[in-house]
Amino acid sequence: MNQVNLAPMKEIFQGLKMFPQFLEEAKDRERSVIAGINCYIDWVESTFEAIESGKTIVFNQFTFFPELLHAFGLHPLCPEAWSVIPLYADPMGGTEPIDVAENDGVHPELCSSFKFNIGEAIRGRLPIPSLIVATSSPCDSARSSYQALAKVTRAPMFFVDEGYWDTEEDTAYIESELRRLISYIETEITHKKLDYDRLKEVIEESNKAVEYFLEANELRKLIPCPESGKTFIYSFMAFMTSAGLPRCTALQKEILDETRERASLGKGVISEEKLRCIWFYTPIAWDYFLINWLEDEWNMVIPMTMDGYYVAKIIDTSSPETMIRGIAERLQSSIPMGRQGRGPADIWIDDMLRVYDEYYGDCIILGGHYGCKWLKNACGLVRETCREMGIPLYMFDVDIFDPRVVSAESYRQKIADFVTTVMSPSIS
Amino acid sequence: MKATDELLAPADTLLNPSIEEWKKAGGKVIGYFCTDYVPEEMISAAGMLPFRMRATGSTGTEKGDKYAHSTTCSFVRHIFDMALRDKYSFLDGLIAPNSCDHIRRGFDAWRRGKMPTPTSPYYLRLFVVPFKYGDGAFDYLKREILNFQKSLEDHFQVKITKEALQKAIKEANETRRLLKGLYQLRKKEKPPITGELAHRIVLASTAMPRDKYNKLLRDLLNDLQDKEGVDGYSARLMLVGGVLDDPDYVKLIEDQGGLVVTDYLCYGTRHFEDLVDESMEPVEALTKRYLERLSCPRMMDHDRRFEYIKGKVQEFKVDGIVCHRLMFCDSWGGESWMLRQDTKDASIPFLGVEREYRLGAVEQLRTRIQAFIETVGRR
Repeated sequence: MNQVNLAPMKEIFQGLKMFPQFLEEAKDRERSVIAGINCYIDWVESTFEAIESGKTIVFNQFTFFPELLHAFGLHPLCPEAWSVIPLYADPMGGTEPIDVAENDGVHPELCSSFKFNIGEAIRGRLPIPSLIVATSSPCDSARSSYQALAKVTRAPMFFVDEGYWDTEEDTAYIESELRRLISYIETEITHKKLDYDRLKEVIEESNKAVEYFLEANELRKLIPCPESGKTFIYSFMAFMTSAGLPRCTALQKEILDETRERASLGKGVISEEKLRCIWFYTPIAWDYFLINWLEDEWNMVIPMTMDGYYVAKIIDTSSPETMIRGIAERLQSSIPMGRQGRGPADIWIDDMLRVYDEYYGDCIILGGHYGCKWLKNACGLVRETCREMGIPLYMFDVDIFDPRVVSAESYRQKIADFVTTVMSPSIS
Repeated sequence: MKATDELLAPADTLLNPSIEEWKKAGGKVIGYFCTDYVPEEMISAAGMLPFRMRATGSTGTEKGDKYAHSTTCSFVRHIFDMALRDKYSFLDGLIAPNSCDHIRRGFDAWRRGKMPTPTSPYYLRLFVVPFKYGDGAFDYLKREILNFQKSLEDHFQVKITKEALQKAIKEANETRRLLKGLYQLRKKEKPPITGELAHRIVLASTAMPRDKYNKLLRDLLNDLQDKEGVDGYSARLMLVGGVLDDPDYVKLIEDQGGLVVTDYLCYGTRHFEDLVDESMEPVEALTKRYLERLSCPRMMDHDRRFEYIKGKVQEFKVDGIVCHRLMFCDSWGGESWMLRQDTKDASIPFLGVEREYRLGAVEQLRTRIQAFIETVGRR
């Protein structure tokens, strides 16, 4: 592994910081997106500061929201969020670290998000953490990659095993894992006990963010839909990096306010809503304006996505036990992709059908990420289920982090074909 | 040698004479994925024959692709295809652990009624294995094994007694000891069998009644004591990787001049290396063994696996490691990458190769193996 040198990343970051300015002209439309990008920028900046000031950095896999780490006074760095810095600056920004990883022998079929992380670690653009916290969800790629990341960074890893089903025994198992994690951090990392009063503060802040988020999600059921599906990825990134901190709460509030404003006026995010599409996967990270195109070209709104489907419960903060229990329950069955990937395909399929129903979907589009085996291997079941239920479905393959695999022109054309043929009665 | 013939044959067919006899006698056969994780002793204790799932004889995946994607592991795609062609009608049930995304999602197709089954209701069980060791994982797996026991009893209306379980453990341990004995013979400068034959013999242990298998293997071991060993090879190789139920693959490697003297395969050392502690309460003993045994890369203990591999390299005087990986297997993809680095640091020659389930790209494989043997070979 090369010496860590974050200067190139910092330079790219300076470019990213200008991104919101480019959206200023369209700020009426992009208000929440600007807020989302600024929240992300704030996190990245705080991370550089934390590294430079010698704060203890802990990697948290994207399926492990960092409230517990914040309560310990640690600085969580979600590698999946960190690696998006070059991607937000340039759609091709992820290709270099992907190539570094593949040239080093990482197998090309690995999820490119993890190839990103490993590539950045190999070339020294990922800080060295004091600890890595990974989870068994959602998939083989994640587990395999985090073992590899631990090897490259030589950092200790604590792996939180999450069971498979949603039984009480599974929840209890996750709880016991969290207690072991707490004990590990106390003994090996911070050398002091977790301050449960601080955990209470952090979780109450997280609860506020969740409340705002869930309320906004409820409003998205309205016809016309009062908010764009673009905001989900920013919310998800905020939860991944900053759950339990005011910046995450502020973003969810901003999005909620915008949603409420439109909802109170009976306005949709677009002037004439013709199609409601459930995009039940994460968005294509490098195609920043895909949803704008769907909205403008096809009058299609996306009321819900998989990364927006954070069905978190409010955590009871009355005692350490209830807080640990609450975190365990969120880990088990709330965090997007963790929830759907951990267990059987039924969860993803049932969630998709429920959302299609509750959000008055007209169709489902799945831009399925190539490296995502837990998802791809269930596509046959999804196809049959939608056919049986008469749900218009379009699935296509894409690499959501690497634009070289399938071009935007190619899948946008296919989406256009789907809309103009299968969905034509709805749009005419 | 009769014993050898009976042990070698099951690798070539799905339904071998032993299984046919078993079925004719009214016995039940339970298919399972992954020897590494499903406690087959429990199946035996229920009076049923455990059968590790293979797609031997599959020639394509045209039907199976209905539920698969181009990035679905070809092992699962062939399994689907065989299932949709009704090749598993001899099975009375099917168990899959949550070993990997391909298998668990493949199993979802069975759970959702997409695959034909000979009976209804059909016994299907997703067997959940933790991804790590430790107290919590032990309790989790123990509970899972007890639930598994109950599910077999309820579905098949049998009672699995402690004595039956102990007997099944004893028989399984005997198999493991015999196979360890077989592998010990391969340490010799001139081992009495090739890697291909050893692979067939291990494979047969997953497709035959255990008492019969143990007897055949005992007879074979007797015969092998005085057998003239294999000579004229250029390199002693260790074969490492995931599911490989095709002895022709091993033969192809050996036809290039190498001799596979040991392995780290699920149809290999991982299948038999660790015994069940017969002095413990049987469910606890099974829990301990199946949790702490030699693992595949779905378990989060790569360093432990490498230490074992390194030890075997020395013990068996291995000249080089060939690590095979099924395309789209992320577990072995990551493992292969890490092993490449570890073996480089330990100065152990390493070759990583990708493959599909059915033997293909033969010439490319031959060339790569030949080149590898030339660089590492001793003669």
